[in-house]
Amino acid sequence: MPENFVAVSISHHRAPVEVRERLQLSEEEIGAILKTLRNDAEAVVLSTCNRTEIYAMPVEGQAIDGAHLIHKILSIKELQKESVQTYRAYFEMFSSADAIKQIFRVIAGIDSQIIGDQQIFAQVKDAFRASEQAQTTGRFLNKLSQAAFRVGKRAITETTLLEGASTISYAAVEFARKIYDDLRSRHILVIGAGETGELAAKHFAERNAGRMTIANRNVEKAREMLARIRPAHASGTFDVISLDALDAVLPKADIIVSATSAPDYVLTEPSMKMALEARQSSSPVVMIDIAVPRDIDPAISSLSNVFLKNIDDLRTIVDRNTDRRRQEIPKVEAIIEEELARFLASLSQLEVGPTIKELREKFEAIRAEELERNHEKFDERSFAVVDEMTRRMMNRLLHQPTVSLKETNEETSEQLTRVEIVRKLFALDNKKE
Amino acid sequence: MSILVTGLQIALPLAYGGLAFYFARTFFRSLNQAERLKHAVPAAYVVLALHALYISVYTAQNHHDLVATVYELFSLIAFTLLAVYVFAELRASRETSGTGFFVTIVCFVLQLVSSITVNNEIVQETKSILQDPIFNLHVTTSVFGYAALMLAAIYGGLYLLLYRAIRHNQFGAIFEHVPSLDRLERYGLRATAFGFIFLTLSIVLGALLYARIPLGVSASQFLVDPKVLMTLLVWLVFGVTLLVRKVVHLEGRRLVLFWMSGFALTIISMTVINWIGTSFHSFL
Repeated sequence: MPENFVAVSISHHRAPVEVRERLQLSEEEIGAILKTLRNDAEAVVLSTCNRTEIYAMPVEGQAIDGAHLIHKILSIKELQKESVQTYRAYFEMFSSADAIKQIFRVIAGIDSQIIGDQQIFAQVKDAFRASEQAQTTGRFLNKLSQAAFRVGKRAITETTLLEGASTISYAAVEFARKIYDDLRSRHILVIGAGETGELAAKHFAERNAGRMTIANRNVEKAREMLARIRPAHASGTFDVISLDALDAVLPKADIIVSATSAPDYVLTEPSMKMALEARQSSSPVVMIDIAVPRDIDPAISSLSNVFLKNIDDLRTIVDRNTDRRRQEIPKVEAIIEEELARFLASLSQLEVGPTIKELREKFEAIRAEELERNHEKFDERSFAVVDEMTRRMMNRLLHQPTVSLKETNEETSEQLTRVEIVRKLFALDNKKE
Repeated sequence: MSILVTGLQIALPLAYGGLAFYFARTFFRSLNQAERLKHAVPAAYVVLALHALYISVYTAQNHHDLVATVYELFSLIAFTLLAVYVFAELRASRETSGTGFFVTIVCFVLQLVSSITVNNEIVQETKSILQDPIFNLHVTTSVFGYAALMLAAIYGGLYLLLYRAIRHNQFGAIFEHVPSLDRLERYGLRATAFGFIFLTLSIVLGALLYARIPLGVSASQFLVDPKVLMTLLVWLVFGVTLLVRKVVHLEGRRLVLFWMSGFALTIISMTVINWIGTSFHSFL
């Protein structure tokens, strides 16, 4: 029954990054937690850089609460006693429909730090896969995973939650693609081999950059970065140069991304002017400065045929997209409500069938037992009559309860409660798959 | 039949207006791509079918194609423009839906002007040239040429709008929904090439027609006719755009400005010259 379903979550909503990273679970740790839960519950563990969560549905006869699940996470991390108390306060607990809604919100990306986070769908999918491998999924979680994937897919296809860039590095690529959407015939110059430059270079490489040059003071570091970002089946040309060789490449570059930690301008107006004069094309040059302090002289923006944008300009794009994504949240919430109702209905159907079957089996067993006990008191003919009479009697007695259990034109929760009552009244075994 | 023609003359601007409204609604609202174009192609087909019916009925009633006056031509260009757009872009690429609003607005304006100003008097006898097959081919190729050039101008206008939006950090509807500068340039060039080919054919057919049918003008008068002169100028501008651009590295905004100047000449050729110039290009 979903009333027993529980979830605990430590996420960016309450916990600062140092707490989140301390409680982030490795694959091995997830496996270990699932192993300890295997006999007590169906369970799934999700752990990303922004959240660590356990969802659990206790099997019949077992009781699991949020505190128990929090203890599982904290104990595997072997924290000091005083830290345990501190960390416990960062957790949120959910139960029943709220816990179901929580996983729906997570997979749809509206609970993420970056609303509409595109990675979370795959991460939730991986979490369910890990549970399956650890044999901690059952009838309930299998149904839940299907419903959750449906929510995630609908959020993508029926809303614009995922449209537009939500990070600076991605916004840089999206901006460049508003000028050159086909990057196969374009030369991209990335200046700087730091984390920001690497992210932007990676996005460009993934979008079939025709030619990419990475310029860095330390060429060896640029080479290492290239090895990391170059897609396995990349058809474009990739090379690295020293910053000293920049002037030779500038006239050929269509898109220039600069992300160094240099204190002064790496690209000045005179150098860019010379590059534009040497350029054998009048197509625009896209320059994106994502460094702080800035790498590209802002005076360059006044040059003809140059689009120069800095981190603040890109932030405008990101903020706009974030606002728009926020406006999509009510649509996603509506999808979640719809899918929750659908899930609960399917769950009640899931419970109704086996309950009716078990009820009939139980009645039939009693009938058979009583017949057997009194078999000798009847001759063959009389026994056949009694057999037929008791069978009919049983069918008539069970007819109305069966009809009531099958009734779906009412609240799903009421139907589930009725199933629960019948199971308790007649002491039916709950044999989970 | 005249009631039907009048009815269609009222219905067509409404239909184009409705189509433009549909594209505007999807252009300014943030809908995902699938939703954005769900009904665009069928809706455009309905408008085209309605317009085709109008052309047939009008031709049957007036005993000549929609080519005799500039107002009739406006209607034919609106039809051709939408047809070229639907078959060349809309059906093929769902990503370029951002251009639909601008194309349909132009179609709407053209059809509205045509519906308001077109002369509905039934002409029983028309000049024999209007029945000539080469003349009709000459005009048809012109219409296709002008429609393609108009489409190129729409792409060029969008290019300049987007260019400006990017330079001024205006990341609104134009930035979001209009295709990239690169793509607009490609589409514009394609439309220009298409227009240039048809304009070339039209000029050749026009010369053939002059040789075949006595129009009452001498060769020197023919060549200095404002409409002929302007058409040759337009043809030259687009020819240069297409043939010389690689040699002189004419790309991006400069290229767009060049072909837009060609389009400005086209507008002058179609309107001002028609109204104020003396031309033998008058058939009613």
